[in-house]
Amino acid sequence: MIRLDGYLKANFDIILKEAIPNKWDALTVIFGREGTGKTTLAVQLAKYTDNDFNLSRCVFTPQQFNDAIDNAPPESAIVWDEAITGANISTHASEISVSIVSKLTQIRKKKLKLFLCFPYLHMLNKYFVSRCICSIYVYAKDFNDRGYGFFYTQPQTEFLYNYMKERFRYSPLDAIKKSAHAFYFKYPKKFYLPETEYDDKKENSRVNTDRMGDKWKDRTIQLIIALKKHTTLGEISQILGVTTQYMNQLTNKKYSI
Amino acid sequence: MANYKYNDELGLAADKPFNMAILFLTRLNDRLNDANLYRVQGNLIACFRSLRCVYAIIHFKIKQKGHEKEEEELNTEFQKAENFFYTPVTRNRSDTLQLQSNAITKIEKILDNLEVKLGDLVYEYGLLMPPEKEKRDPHKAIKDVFRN
Repeated sequence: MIRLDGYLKANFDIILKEAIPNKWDALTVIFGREGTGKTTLAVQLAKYTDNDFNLSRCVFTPQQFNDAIDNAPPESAIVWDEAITGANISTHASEISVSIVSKLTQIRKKKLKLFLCFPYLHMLNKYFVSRCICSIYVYAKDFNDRGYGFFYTQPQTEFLYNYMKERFRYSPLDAIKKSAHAFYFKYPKKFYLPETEYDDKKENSRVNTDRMGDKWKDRTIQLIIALKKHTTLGEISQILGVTTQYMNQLTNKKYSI
Repeated sequence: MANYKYNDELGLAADKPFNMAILFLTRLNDRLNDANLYRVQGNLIACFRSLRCVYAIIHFKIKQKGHEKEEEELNTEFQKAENFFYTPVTRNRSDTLQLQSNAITKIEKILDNLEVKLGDLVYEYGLLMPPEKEKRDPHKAIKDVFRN
């Protein structure tokens, strides 16, 4: 039995009783400084909205999120922890971000309850700000005093985002003090997933994503070396659409050909 | 209203003409609301004083040309009310209670009259503010998605 704050419970009950039966889905953005308890709250909400929520639906990378959206049964809850890996505004044009956005636009009929944990709202991809049904700012009052939150409706989230990006662009967190929120709440510390397994999964996915980038770069370089045996560097550069100078730089740095 | 409060919180542009105008209007409308509230509560003297305040605030409009009739009417009404409030009540008579109840009904009628007339004038001058939007119920905040 998950205990939620009264206002928070009332709002998530609306999702369960009105939105989901009428074929809507619910994307909630949870933002706040690292370590303030975004995941704790996200897991509590996921567990409240979906009884079958478990570690397999808690994802860390864009690839995992993509797979989870595809494979999850309808009306299930998914928590994307560390959504900065794919929902970051600076990587909005990357292949995986584009695919996630296009998938999210088409996935409404699955009636999923999605929770995005993202550290700073002003760094979030604009799409998620428009797409979310509400957002929550999580903060701590002291090093040993966590578990406070502000609830923002979707228009309030948009306003706050705008405020962070424009007026308070040099001190975005000040915008939180100056903008309106629907209500304030507290939540308990209890973490509803097995902690050691959660940490392992997080660490593994982090290490794997780090390797992925290097792997593709290495493969490209090896391919160029292999091609160079049969054709000249100029021809390869013509095919790839880059300058020969760049090709030389790329290959000479790591491998002496 | 919302914007004004917002700016005030920020401490920005509080002395801009627009905000000063809003301040003036809120002051006037608050007094009108006060009068209404005191009238309901039966605090007739407070109601009368609030109405005097309203009169004082909009006097700059009333004293303009073409409003002499309204000014006269209001003055006579205020004079009537004053007579009731500020003349000593005769005691030691057998029908004191009867007299008092009669007086109260008369004062109430006068105050009603004053309130209606002042309200009409405020409306006529375009100083009446629309009612402030009710605060949304936080239990249903999530429904703000459909703000259109």
